[in-house]
Amino acid sequence: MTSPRDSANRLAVDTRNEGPSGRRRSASAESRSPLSSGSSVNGASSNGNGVKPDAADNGNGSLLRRYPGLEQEAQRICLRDSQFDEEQVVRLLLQELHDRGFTDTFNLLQRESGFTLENEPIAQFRNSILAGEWAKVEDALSTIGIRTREDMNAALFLVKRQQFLELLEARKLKHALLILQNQLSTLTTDIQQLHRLSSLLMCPSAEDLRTAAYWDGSGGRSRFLVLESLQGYISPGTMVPVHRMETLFGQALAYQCEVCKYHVRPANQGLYVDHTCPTSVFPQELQFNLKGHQDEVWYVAFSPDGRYLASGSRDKTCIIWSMDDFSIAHRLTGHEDEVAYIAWSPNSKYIVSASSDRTLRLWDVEAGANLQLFTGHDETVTSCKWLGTNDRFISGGLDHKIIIWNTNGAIIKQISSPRVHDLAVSADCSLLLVADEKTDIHAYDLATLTFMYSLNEPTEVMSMALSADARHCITGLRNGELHMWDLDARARVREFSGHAQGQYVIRCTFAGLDDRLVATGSEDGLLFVWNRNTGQLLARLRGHTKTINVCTWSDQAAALATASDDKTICIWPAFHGAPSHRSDPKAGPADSNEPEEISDDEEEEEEEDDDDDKSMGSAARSSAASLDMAF
Amino acid sequence: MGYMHQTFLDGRGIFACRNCHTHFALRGSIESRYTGQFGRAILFTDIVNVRAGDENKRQMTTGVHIVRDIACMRCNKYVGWTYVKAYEPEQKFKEGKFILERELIYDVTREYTRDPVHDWVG
Repeated sequence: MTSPRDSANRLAVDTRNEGPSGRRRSASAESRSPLSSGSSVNGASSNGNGVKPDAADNGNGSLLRRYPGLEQEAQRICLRDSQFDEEQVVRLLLQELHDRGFTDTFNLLQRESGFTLENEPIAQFRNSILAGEWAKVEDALSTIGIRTREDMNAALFLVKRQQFLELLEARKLKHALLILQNQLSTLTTDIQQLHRLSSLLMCPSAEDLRTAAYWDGSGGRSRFLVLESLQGYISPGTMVPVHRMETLFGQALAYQCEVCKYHVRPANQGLYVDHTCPTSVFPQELQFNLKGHQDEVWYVAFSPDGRYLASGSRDKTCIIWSMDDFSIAHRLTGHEDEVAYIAWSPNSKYIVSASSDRTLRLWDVEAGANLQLFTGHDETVTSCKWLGTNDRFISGGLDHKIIIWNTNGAIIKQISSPRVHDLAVSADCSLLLVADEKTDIHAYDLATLTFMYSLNEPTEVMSMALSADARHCITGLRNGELHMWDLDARARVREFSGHAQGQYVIRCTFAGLDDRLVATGSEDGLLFVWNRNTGQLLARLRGHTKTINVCTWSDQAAALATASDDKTICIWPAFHGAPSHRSDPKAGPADSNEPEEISDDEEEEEEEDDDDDKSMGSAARSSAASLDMAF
Repeated sequence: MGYMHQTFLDGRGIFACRNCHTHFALRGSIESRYTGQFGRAILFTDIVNVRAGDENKRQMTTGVHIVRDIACMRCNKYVGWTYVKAYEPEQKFKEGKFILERELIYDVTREYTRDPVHDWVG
């Protein structure tokens, strides 16, 4: 083949001679090769340490070394030169075989390939740790090849700490104390750790020791964990990191998920096929159009378990819809004015609705009953969120107040704040984001309700959403832009545009698995969905005839839901397979809600775009037409 | 027509809905005063918290205009109208501005000793 390959192979072959692992070269290379006819090929003699540079000119250097008669067989057998070092690949295979218990194959592979997983000293080191023979371990550590002094001290500290804990467990307190004083204290400068360890001396029993130190005992996995942490100090060539092949598989899968454009479905296709979410899985077909409200619907939210959808409307009621049969489970009346926000409790049993009648109400979902009324706000309550547990939630209003409530009606805490337009709470309840009436977003530490920092926008913030990992938030602005902020860097990282937004509140949300998508409604009745990482517009879904006020996504229900001024709610499910038939006609409204997806992708096979665009004649066409030109 | 957050105005001379006290405009944005078809009316340049209805062509004392009726966003009561287009050249300056009927609004910042209906704010 080509000459650079030869030299590369030659180099690879040469360095392998000094490999750290015990590479045993069999003296009888010829007898090992099944493909050889017994004679030497290419005139190269095969001695025990056979390095045959000229055999490398086929690009199969290592294989030809082992099977000298290869060129004739190369047509028959599908062999190729891999970009990965053979020793590394084989040792990973050996590790997998060993971990899975295939000892015969393990030994056979070691013999046949000439590589071993671990040489003697390492194997003994591993066994000593797992057996708890600490003297041997200490000796072995010095010969094992740890590079720096600090690493050696750190490794020794780990070993000694395990020994210390095991001695305490066996109630050999005097010995343990000696170790602590003479050895542990010299090995680390972390005074707090030393104090913690010495306090463990006080533990009255082994049981207490285990709980106090978060340690599962000498009989548990702790020794294995020590081994795992020691691997960080030993060069990976000497001792292959545990479960290395699985780690690599996991990384490959994570990468596939990362580049998956739509990503609404978890990766369950196994190892043979790359994970992708095909277009057919993306929510693009309207499954159900829910009618039941008598006026504009201003908020929808899925329950955390995905079985219900709650909606709040200008008609002063909330409706709980069952996602099993898309029927109305309960109609919740009681508010005296419009309902603009709803929050589900984490156990999917209660909802809290916030209304412009200055109150919030707590409802039981099973019974459909009003459990509690919360008064305390002097103006419209604009937003509410639960605080991780099922008995506390936070609300913000236009009266400069943020209040933390207990579900029994009592006020737990109250602070004064800018007028609140929207609230967001991080999943671990440490961060509170408040969008105020002007152009700022304020971040509060939720535990103490103290102000931390502000993010500034050029125009009014109409809506805000926080990602599940609380590292990004998106804000919808009055001028029709959607900004994505990185909260660690406190900087804007991406902008999405194309939708129409003016003075009315159009809510935005993260959607898809891992918050891969960003979705927002628009005043022309279309739902816009972008890929959050690439910023590419994935779809503009038509299903409503008027402004879409809110959109939301649920992993459990695997669907997008949107609510609009046309008094209806649309459900867009992510199918798990071929797109199913449209739902029964009785569910559709009088005017046409043909779910034509307008996709801009050149590489997508969505052909419907142009023809359908011309055939649709609603008033929203003018704005949609100007959008099409961008694609 | 969608969910709108209620705006709160700051300052002296805030005109608000007589029915539900929602803020509409500041005294500083008063342009001029008229007598409209239903009584006294004030022309404002900036208004908040109102929803506009459909366009109508209307004959007014000053000429033909295209107007949209506006209503309070909270209580949905009619409070006035806004000029979309004026056909007379002298009336063009009204386009984009708002008329609020004097009977339907009042100044929330002012302390009233008498009945606000008969109290004219200068």
